[in-house]
Amino acid sequence: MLKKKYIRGPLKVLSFAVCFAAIFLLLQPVFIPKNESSAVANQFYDFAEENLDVLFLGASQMLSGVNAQKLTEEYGISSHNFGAGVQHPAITLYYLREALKTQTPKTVMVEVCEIFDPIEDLRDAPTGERVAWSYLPMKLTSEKINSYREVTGGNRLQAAEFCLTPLLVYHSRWNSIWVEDVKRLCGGYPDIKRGYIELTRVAPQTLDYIGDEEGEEKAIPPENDDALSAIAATCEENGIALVFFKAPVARWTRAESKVVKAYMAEHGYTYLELNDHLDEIGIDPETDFCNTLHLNASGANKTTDFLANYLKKRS
Amino acid sequence: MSLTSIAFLAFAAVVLFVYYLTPGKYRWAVLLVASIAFYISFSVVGIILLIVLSLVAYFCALQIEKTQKRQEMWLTEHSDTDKETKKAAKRRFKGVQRRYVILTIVLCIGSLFLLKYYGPFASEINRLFGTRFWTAENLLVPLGISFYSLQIIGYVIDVSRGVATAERNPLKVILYASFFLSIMQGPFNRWNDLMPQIVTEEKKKLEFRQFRLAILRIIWGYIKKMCIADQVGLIASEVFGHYEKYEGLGLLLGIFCFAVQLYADFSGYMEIVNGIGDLLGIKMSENFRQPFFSRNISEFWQKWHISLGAWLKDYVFYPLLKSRWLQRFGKWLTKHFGKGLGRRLPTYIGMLILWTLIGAWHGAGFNYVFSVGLLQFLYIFLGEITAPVSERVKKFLHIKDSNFFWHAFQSIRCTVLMIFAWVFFNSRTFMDAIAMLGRIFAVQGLGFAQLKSQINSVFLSEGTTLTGLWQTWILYVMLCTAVLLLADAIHERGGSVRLWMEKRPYVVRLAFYLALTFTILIFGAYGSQYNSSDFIYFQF
Amino acid sequence: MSREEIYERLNAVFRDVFDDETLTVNDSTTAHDVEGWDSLRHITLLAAVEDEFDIEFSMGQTVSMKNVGEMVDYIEKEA
Repeated sequence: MLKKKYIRGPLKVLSFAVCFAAIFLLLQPVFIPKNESSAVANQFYDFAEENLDVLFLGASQMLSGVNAQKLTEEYGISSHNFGAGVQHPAITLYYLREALKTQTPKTVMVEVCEIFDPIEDLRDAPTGERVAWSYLPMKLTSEKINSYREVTGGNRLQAAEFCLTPLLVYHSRWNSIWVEDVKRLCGGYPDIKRGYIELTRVAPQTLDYIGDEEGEEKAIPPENDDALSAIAATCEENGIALVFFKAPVARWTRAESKVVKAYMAEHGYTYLELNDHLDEIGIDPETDFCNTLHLNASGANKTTDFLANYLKKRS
Repeated sequence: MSLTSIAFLAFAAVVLFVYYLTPGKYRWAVLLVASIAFYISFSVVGIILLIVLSLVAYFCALQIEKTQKRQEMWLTEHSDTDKETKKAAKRRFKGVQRRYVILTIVLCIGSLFLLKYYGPFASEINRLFGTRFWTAENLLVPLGISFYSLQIIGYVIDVSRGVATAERNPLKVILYASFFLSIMQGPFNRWNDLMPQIVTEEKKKLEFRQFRLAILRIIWGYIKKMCIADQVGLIASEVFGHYEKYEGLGLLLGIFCFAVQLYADFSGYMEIVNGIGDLLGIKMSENFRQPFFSRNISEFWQKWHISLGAWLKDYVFYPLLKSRWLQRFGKWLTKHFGKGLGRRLPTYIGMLILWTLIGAWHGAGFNYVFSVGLLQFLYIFLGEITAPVSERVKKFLHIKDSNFFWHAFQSIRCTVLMIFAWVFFNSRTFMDAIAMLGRIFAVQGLGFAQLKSQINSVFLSEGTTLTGLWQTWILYVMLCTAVLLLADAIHERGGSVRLWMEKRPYVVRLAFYLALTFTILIFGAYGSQYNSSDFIYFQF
Repeated sequence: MSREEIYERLNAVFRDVFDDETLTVNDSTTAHDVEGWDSLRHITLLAAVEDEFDIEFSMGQTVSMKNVGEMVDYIEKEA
C-alpha cells in the first residue's frame, strides 16, 4: 500500500507538468505569426484522402492566381493549391515531399516567382515572417525539422526549438497580438477554397513585361538550381509530370523571363510563361490586379480558364 | 556569466549541489572556489588585483590585532604608571594601527581611483586645458572593484575598532572580498554579519520549505529583471539614446520607464542573490525597503541601496563628523555664532562631503556626482531648512502624518524628485540631461494624441528596437508599475506573498506557479529578439 | 559616579540636543524611541555627551551602541 506522502509529491509535479503543457499548447497558436498560409496548409491536410489531378506549388502569386476550386468544379480537373505567402524553391521541395506522403497527383505545377531569391535572405532572418509563414502551419515531422535546419542554416537545437516549441521563439509577439490573431485562430479564413485565396481589390497596374525596358538579367542562385533539380528528380521518381510556370504579374521583366527560359531549356524542363499569353488569357491591367504582385479574383479566373485549356491539351 | 544566462543557473545549481555534499567545515572552500570561478568567467586578470588587495588587508588586519595585543600587554605591565604616560602609550599604539588602516585604504582607494576615475579625469583635464596627460585608456575597470575595495577597507577598519577579529586564514579574506553573490552589485556585507554564516562547523540542511521559499524569491527576481526591467528598458534606452526625436509626453514616458527599469533591475538582482543566499543558508543585508513610499529624500536613501548608505555612514560619515578638525570647527562656530549654527554647519559640511562621495562612487562623471550626490544633498538640505515652515503649513491645514493622502502626496513628491535626478544619472552627459528636460516643455500641450503619435511614429518605427502596438506598450508599462507598487505595498504592511501562498490550497498554488512560469516565458526578454542587457549596476 | 547622577546629567544633555524639555531616557531607550534621533543627530549627541563627561567614545562604540544603557555603562567605566 503506497504511502499517501509518496504519491502527493510526484502527483503535484505531474499535475504541474500536465497543466503547463496544456496551457503551452493552447497559447502557442495565438503567438505564432500567421496569415492565410496557415489555412492553406490546414485545408490541404484535410484533403488528404482525395487523389488530385494537379497539385500547384509556389508562393502567394500562385495562391491568389490559380482558382483551384474553379478548376475542380467547372473543369473536372481536381486540383489544390499548396503553398505559403512566400516560398523559396528549397521550401517548395519540402512542400512537394510533404504532399507526396498522402497524394499522387498526375501533374505538379510549380510557380517560380522566387527563382532568383537567394537563400541568404532566409538565413539572415531564421525566425522572420518569410520562414514563419512557410513552416509554422506544417505538420510536425522530422522532415520539417531537417528542412528548416537546411534552409536557415542553423543548428539542431534552433531547428528543434522552432518546430517543437515555437512559442519560445515568438513569445516576444506579446506586444503585437491583436484581435486578428485570435480571430484567425478560430478559423477565420472562410474565403479560401482549395488553397485559392480570393483577392477582390482592384488596382490598375503597368506591367513591366510589356513595357519599354528589357529589364536587368539576374542569375539563378546555385542553391535554387539544386532545389529545382531535386524537385524534378522527385517528380520523375514518382512518375509525376512537372510543369514550371510564371503567373501573370506586374513586376516581372522580359530579361528575367529570358534567363528562366534558358535555364528551363538547358535542363529540359517544361516551362509555361503566362506573361507571354496575356492577350490570350485576356488580362486587363486596369481590372485584373490587386497590387504589384498579385492577380485579383477577376485575373485569377481568367488565368484558371487558360490553365484548364492548357492542361486538357496536355493530357 | 550574466545572471540571466543558462550558464549561471547551471553554475548555481552545481555550487548548491557540491555545497550540500561537502561537510560543514569545508563548505566555505566550496564558496571560495565558486567565487573565484565566477570572477574568472568575467576577467582573468582582474582576479589578481582582488587577491593582492585581499592579502594586503589580511596582512594589515593581523598586524593591527598584534598591535592591539601589545597595547594590552603594555597596559597590564605598566598598570601603575600615571594617566599621562598611559595616554601617550595608547596614542603610540593607535598610531601604529592607524598606519596599517591607512595603508589598506590608500592601496584600495588608490587602485579604485587609478582604474576607474583617473582616466575620465585626465581626459577632462586634457580637453579643458589642452594638455596631454596619459589617460589610462588601456586599463580596464576590474569587475566589482567599487564593491570589494570598500568591503576590504571595512574589514580592516572593523578589526582596528575591535569589532571584528583578524582572520588567520588568508583564503577566507579572499572569499570575503570575492563572494560571488555580492561582488557584482552588492549588498555590502559586514565581516561580522557574513563570515560567521559562511565559516561554521554547523552542517546546515536544506529543508524543502526553505528551498521552495528561496526559489520563489529567485523567480520573483527574474521576473523583475527579465519581464519588467528589460522590457520597459527598451523604451528608456530608445528615448534616452535618441531624445532629440522625442518631446513632451514621449520623453516623460521614457524617463518614467527608466525609473521603473532601474528599480526593477537593481532590486530584482537583489532578490536573486538573496534567494540564492537563502538556498545556501546565508542571510545577506537587504538593500531595499519599499523606497518609493518614503516621505522625504532622507528617508528614501535609508530605504534605497541600504547597504551602501550604511557602509558610508559607519566608515566615512561618522569618522568625518567625529574628526578633530570638524569638531573644532563646530566648537569655534558655537563660540562665535551660537549653538544652532555650531551644531548644524559641521553636520551639513559632513553631509556635503558624504553626498559628493556617494555620487562619485556611482561613476566617474559629473552627471553621477550631481544626480545622486550634490542634488540629493540639496534636496535634503532644503528639506531641513524649510522644515519649520512645513510644520507651520501642516498645522495650519490640519494635516496629520497619519493621513493617507498626505503620505501619498509626500511619496509622489519624493518619487518625482528622484526621477528628476535620474534623468541626469542616465544621460550621457550633464548637458544632454538639460537638453532633454528642456524638450519636455518645449511643446504645445501635453496631449494624449501627441503621445500616441510619438510612440507610433518614433518608438515603434523602423530603426528602433521596439515592435508591437502602442496600446499594448502603454498598458504594459502601467501593469509593471502596478505590480511593483502592489508588491511593495504588501511588504510595507509586513505581508509576504510567498508565506501567504504556503497556506493556500494546492490548486491556488498550482495556478500561482503556472502564472509565474508563463510570465517569464512570455514576457521575459530572452531569445533572438532581445540582446541580453547587463544589469545597470554592472559597471561598478 | 552613580548611575542616578549620570542619568541626571545625561537627561540634561538629551533635552538640550533634541530641544525637548520633557525628554527622559533610561537603560532601554533606543534611537527609535526619541524623535529626531537619526544618524545625523547621533554624532551631535555623542559629542555633547563626550563634552559633558570628559570621555571619548571609540568609533566602534559609536557605530555599535544599541541603547542608552550601553552608553551609561561606558560612562560609568570611564568617567
